[in-house]
Amino acid sequence: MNEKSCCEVIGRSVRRVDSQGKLTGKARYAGDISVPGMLHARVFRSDRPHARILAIRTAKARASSGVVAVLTHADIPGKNVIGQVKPDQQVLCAEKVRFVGDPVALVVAETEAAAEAALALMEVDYADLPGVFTPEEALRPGAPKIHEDGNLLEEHALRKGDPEQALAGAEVVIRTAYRTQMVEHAYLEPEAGVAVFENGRATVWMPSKYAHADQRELATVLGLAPENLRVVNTTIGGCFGDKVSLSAGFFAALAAVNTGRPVRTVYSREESFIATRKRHPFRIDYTLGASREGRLVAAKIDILADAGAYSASSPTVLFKALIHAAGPYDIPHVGMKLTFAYTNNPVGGSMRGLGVPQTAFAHESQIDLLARKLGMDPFELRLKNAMRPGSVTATGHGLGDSVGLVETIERVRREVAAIGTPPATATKRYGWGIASMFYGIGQSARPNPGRARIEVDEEGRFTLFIGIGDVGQGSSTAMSQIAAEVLGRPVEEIRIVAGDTASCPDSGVTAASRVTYIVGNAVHMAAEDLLTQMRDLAAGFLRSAPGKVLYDGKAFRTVEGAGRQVSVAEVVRSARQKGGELCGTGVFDPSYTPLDPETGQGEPMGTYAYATQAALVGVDKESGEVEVLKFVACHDVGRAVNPKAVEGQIEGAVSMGLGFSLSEEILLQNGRMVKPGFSQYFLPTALDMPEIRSLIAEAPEATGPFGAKGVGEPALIPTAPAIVNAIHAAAGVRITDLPATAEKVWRLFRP
Amino acid sequence: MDHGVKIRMKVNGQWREAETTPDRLLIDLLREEFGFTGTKKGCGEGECGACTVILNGRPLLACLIPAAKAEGADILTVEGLTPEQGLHPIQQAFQDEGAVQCGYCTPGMVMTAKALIDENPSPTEAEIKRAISGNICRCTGYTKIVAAIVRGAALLRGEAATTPAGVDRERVPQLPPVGPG
Repeated sequence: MNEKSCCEVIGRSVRRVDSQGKLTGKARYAGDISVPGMLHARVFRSDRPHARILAIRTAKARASSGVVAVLTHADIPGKNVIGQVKPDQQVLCAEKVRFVGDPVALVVAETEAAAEAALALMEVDYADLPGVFTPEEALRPGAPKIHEDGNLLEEHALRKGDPEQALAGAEVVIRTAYRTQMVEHAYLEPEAGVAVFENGRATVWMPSKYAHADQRELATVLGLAPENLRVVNTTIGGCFGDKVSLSAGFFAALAAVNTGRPVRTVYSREESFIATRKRHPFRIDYTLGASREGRLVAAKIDILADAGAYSASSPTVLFKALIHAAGPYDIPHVGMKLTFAYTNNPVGGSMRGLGVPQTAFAHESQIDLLARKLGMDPFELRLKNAMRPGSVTATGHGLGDSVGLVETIERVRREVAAIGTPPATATKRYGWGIASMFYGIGQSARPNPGRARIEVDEEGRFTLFIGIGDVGQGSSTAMSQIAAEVLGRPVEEIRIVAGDTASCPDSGVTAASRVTYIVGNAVHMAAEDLLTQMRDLAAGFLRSAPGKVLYDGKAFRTVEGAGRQVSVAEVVRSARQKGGELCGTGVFDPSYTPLDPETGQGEPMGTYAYATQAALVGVDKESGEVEVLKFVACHDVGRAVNPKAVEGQIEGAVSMGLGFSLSEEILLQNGRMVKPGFSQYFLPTALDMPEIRSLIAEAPEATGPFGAKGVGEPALIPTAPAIVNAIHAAAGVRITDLPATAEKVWRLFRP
Repeated sequence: MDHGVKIRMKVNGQWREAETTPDRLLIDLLREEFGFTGTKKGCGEGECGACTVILNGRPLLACLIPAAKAEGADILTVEGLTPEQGLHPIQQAFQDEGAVQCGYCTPGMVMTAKALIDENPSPTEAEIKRAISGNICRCTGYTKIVAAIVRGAALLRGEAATTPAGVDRERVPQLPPVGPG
């Protein structure tokens, strides 16, 4: 650390490092890239949910004007298999299709229009197989098998204490069945990728939040050594957990390798809806037991999830759900069973919160119902059971000091009291609903190291290299702030390269709210490492001991020596003359213990974030329409590296949670999407947004960079249950299946 | 294939010509032919507003009209809005308010805001929300975008911008002087 006191840059709402380019149109998204001589590839996809492929006839499409090639599974140079957790998916289907949208062929043409026209000339003979469209059907004995080894993708249990006995003895028991819907990420930038293949080496430009994983997986598909494939992350136009693995860049690369020409692939919005992964629909059977005084004694939770046609990130989602499904409460006895089943529906992937928004909807609804049954204030009930330093989670993880949940509940309570509730009108009823959450930062119970490197050139300029892409949340800015703080420079003087396999270290993925805590730590360590190297050299120059050398961001000088100083640039030049290179590196991997396969007990995460949110809604008793009027959110983020960016995460999550709770749903008929696209998928607009009060709580995490944890996913997790609880407070009806459309609410008024 | 037609339009102050097919959309011409890739294609069906440009002074979705219909039109894209140095006051306000996240909706939002402020130099928050209700943003929850448009309008009226709302007022960077539109 430089000698100036912390913090000059941390905790400040500095301007984003990427906003200038995004505002002027200069930022390059993959679809903006043109290469001379570039071809265009479009994917031909299955229109059947479940069918055997008898023949793929490409002759007519091949003969179509402007078509250069039509590729099938036979044209894949490497292995035709993907799946970053469980390899069960083909890049281009050979024998069988398993959902409407499964890729079968790739049409490559001189223009996008020619490729599009040729898609209509593709002929595939299918033998339809019976489809399976719910996880219940999928697990029935004798159900048609989607994969060779059956339809059960993954099953895990958790057991802490004796939940059955505790429930039998509980004074109050609430049991409710909940359902959540399939949700689309709906990032504004549809998937795109551009690939060039020359002299046996390929380069792919694509929105990649984990360039190194894409490099490893795509290299096996292309039959290339990973060092012969470079993945370059482009500006990412949103992802919310998606844009991972098989995407447009994969297809562009496959076409480039086959044709030897540059290729671009851009998905249409319709294709983006059909082809990409979705939030898993959950069925949750939740039993919660408590004493009459409102002390939670036991929870028993059964979860059945629709994983869709392939495994994708289902195992990741399952473990996040398991770790968090009992909520942010100290409950002595917990039992869970989670079952993920394959179906012939769109593939369940990772989406902001990884299964936890679904489970939070259930546990926070349960807490609200319990408060009603006990006649207790819902804030009070939460405070009574809230996790505190030293509490033990459902997985048996004893918490450390960074547990700010109580503060979030109390601050939201004060804010809600100050705002008040409007009186009912002839048709409208108003009410507040609250919800809390906790969320483990990073990937669960497995290594997920973050790496960073910082170089300094002969002019004394610093460049930070990290492998993760900024998905829009502002991670490049936060990482630059951490480096800038340590190196004593303004943020804009730290150059950053994020997500280029040719120059960046493998930092892991931008997911699971892990970047600030994990990669941020690596950046902090890399900056400290570089500073130590420079200080050692400077000490030699100054004929002093490193401990006596001060640094001010530009130069080093000795504590005692007036006038004696050496600049960063001079230190670098001298090191280079001696054949040395100054380069700081950092690696951070949070400590964990694995989860016991039988009981789900272990310490899976390095740290947890906490939050409480409250919504004021108005419910129209004539129409059932719900309007969210005010929103209060308080998040314990450990330390807000950039408060405005934290607010931005909260505000954006409120809009996403509003859609999740009230309007968004992918409707399927036998696995086929009804009207894929924005016209029938109701995303919140500016007119739907409430006034939002964002409050930041900071219970510093000792192992985090400057105490920071994370906020990206936590911001979304309590939103839907806060709104659903508010609907109950306002109108006396309980929504147990999302979304709470006006029609559903209206029907509850008229049983 | 359709026969090509020659069309001529003024884009960002400069007359340009292209040969195009009658079914080609304005967005594709702007992006692929003229290289103005700042205008984004989010849906291609007029639902998201990412492709908003200003045509003869009015905001328009470039994914909905055939390029040929823009014959003789005067079109402004985000590239034309951006001054040689620095940012247009609306862009500056977006930057100061932290209204940019992934950035894909941003050029369309900025152009919608520009058209609104041209017509109504002092829009209320409700008017702003109505004006941008056809522009989808999945990242920001619109809060900071609305604040940015309020601020941008104030800057364009020549008023000293009020300090943006937020958690750390004292830390907001100083605004540079307002440049020409």
